[in-house]
Amino acid sequence: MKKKLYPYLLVGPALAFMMVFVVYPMFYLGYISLTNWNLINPNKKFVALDNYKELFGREEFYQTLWNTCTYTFWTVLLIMTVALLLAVWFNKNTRFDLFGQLAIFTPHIVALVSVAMVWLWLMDPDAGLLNYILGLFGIPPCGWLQSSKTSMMSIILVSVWKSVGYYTLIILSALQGIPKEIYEAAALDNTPKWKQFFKITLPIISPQLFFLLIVMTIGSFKVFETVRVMTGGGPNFSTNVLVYYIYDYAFNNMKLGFAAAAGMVLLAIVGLVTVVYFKMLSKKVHYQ
Amino acid sequence: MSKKKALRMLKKTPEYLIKTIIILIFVFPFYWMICTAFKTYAEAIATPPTLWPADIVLENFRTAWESGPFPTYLKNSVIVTASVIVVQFILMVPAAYGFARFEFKGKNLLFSIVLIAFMMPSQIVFIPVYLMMARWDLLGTLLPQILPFAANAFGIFLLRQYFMQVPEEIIEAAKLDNAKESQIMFRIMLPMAKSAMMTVALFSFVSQWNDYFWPLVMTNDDRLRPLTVGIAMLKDAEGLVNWHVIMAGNTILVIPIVIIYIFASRQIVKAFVYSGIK
Amino acid sequence: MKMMKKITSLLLAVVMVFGLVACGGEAGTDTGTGGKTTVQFWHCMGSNNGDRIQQMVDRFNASQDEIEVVATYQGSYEEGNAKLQTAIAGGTAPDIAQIERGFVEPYAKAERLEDLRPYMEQSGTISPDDFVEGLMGYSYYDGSDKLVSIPFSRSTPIFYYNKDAFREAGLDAEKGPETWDDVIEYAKKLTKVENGKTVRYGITFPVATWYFKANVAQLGGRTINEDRTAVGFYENGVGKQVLEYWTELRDSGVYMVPPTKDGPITARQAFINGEACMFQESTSLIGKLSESCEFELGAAYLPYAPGGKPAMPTGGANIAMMADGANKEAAWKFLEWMLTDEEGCLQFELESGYLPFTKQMIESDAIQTLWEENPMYRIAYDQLQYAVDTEQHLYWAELKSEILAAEQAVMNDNADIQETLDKLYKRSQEILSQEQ
Repeated sequence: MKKKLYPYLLVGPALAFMMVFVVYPMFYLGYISLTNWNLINPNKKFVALDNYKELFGREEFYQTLWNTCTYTFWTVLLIMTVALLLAVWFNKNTRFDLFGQLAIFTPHIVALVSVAMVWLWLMDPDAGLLNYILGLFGIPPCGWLQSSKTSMMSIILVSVWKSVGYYTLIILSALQGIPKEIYEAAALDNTPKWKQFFKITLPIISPQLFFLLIVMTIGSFKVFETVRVMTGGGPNFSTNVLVYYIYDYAFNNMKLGFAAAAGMVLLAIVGLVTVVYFKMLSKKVHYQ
Repeated sequence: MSKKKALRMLKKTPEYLIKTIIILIFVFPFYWMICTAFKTYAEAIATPPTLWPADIVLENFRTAWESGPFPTYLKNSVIVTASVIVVQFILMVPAAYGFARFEFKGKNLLFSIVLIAFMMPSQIVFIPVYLMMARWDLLGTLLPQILPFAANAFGIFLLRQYFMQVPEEIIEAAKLDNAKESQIMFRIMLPMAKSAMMTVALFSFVSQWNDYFWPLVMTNDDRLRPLTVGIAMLKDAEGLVNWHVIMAGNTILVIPIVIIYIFASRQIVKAFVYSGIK
Repeated sequence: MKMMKKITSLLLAVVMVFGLVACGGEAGTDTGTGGKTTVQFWHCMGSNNGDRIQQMVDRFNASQDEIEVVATYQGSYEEGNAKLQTAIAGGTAPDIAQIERGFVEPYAKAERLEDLRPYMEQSGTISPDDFVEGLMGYSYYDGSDKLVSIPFSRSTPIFYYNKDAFREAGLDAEKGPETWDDVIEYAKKLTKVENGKTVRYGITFPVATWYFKANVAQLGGRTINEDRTAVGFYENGVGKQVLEYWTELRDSGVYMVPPTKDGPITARQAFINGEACMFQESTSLIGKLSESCEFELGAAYLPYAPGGKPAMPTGGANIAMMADGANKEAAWKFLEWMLTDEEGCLQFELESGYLPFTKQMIESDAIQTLWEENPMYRIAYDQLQYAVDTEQHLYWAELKSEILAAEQAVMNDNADIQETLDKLYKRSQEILSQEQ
């Protein structure tokens, strides 16, 4: 009996907090999405699915969804690739490489607001450094944040720069857990470096990478700060993403019920993505 | 031999060159922030920006520090961040261990709660949480900034991953030695996940220390606010921006993180050296 | 058992931490000092203006010993607004709050703002007629019945120009451009191109709804039409004319288009650095610009359309007494002091550069002296006779982001003006037809 209870005792306390601070708010959100409440109005009216009907009838909601998916796809792909490359490459114990690890992590520890201005300057279509560098290679100037065509790409670039260090650190800690003997054996066999990477490194750290994949995907769906600081959703809604949309509707447009409905859609999507990931990928991942 | 060494150095040059460029890309905005903190107003807004302050001005740091009750802000930041990390560990380690090593009824359901917790954006959750805190009459304390972060879903998720990777043989061996569950957890599992725990602690520290929105909406009073809110106040409502002072404030904010990071990264490396995994 | 020791010390740490938290808590609960009534005043002013508010509150607290006002910064206008809504729902609203003018309407509609008329009538020290008419566009709710908010940090857009650059280009430095045609002509003369790269632009201003509204009003259009069913610049073709004026500026290469986000900051810096010679921005910048510009600064009324008339919207934030506040009498005492005492709002407006807003303030020596010393402040005030605000609506914020998106579509993405406005018009009908 005691043995049966033991695991519940272990996970219980943490779950209790989550019930209060996550699950309850989730149901609360679901309830609000069925009303026309706006926080300041003393009378809440039950409107059934009206908010959802309005939401799905909105052109810009689909655009927002599309933006969020585009953002997620590219940031996950880029961060994963870049973080993996950087981690493998900087995974050495020299002073230089340790400094490099620290350097790559710095964007993560600085509040985005304080570096936003540098980015705005770098990406300025006229006077910016990036267009200057492009010019050196004979590439025509880019509109960066100022054109709907390139604004999302620019946001993705800043996001990748900001968070790649965070993931590099996790991958590094996974890499350093790989027993050295395995590589020594491979070196004796004269296996080339790139082959070592695909045959040894990748399979061994695949559980962590799979974990990171989920973390990144969910994190990308939650993107808010980058958009708020860099573009405010513009130009012409081209960088509007779900969480920003929700926040904007809840507080600036004061339509909390509508925002909550969008919030429920976000939760549904992220839930779905997670389930799909687990079902599809968990079988293929190598477990030790 | 020395010729060989020189040749090897030469071969390494492109690697170091590219690595240096990469490092510059990542460090540049950070450097720029610190650099601006020492500039005068006129120099801070000049375009193109100068790469080194013409006159080094220390005044900005004083202006930032004296713009509000900064000692109180600092105290709150420290208390909140420290409590969150401590409480998180107390809840996280057993939970991750439980999810990693036990099979029990409803495990998947309970673990999905962890996932939900992980994906809830705080921009949505804060309304019900604030209303709850108001009802419990806790808004006059620091608890609204601590309790909602007590259960770290990301940490549970990550630690569970590490615990699951501890080879079964080690645990079997310990069981043969009549080790108790708690002994296995503390003596075997924890040391092995040391680097993961350091990583989680570092991330918690950074996100808690830098959090701005949550403390702003959870406090009605300057006496309960952390450094980030104080620094945000250096910015004017209509964007009259004293970049030099704001950067000074942000530099003050970032110093503890850098110190902790340097300390932590060493510990993370050490943890690998001493842990059972080799 | 080394581990046990570690755990014990960990638990001890927890206990200590929570002890500290609890202590912090006690310090946080407000008991009021010496039996004084506490009035909570939430504002959204950071930096120097935040200090000025604090100093004003300190002056009030020192002037009497019954009321203690506590001023607290609550983030930017938008953050402060989010904060205030949540606090109202949680029953922790302040007594007085600064609210960005566009957000006043929803609070008034939800009956969260106290009608100040009875207080004024009772005290007799100030009356609703004492306020400057042009700044009262957001103060009344339900016709002219309820006075729900009063001006506080208010401004209008004004036209700044670089006198030195004007002289250099052979333009009359004592007079700004009067009409849009003048603007285009002047801007062309002021723009400098070297090696195919523009090194100096004629004009810059953020792509924002404020200037669009101004230009619309100059042509006799309205932001929201009189029936409140759609935007008031579509059927009369006014919106199209304005955007054509803007695109003409852009296409002739004389207008520096600032970024979508933080556009005002970039535009202002370009103007200060002499990279753009004309600049439309808030009157609240007069002080800052006079201080930072190394060239001679000029200011003029906003140029208007040929055949149009001078007109502009107002901006900034109001203050209101919250209907849920616990100490309304004390809150009114503070408001009354701010409105009537020389050390109240008058001093704040003088220091911050926001517009004075009561007749008593205008007539005061302090303001008259300021106007003599820096005539730009006078221009800012005189402009108010042309102030028009036509967007008071519960769903203004939602409409505003649509208007902004339309402006960006045209200015950033070069979208077709007519098509963009067609879409905006339809969308505005949807937004404004929502249940009120």
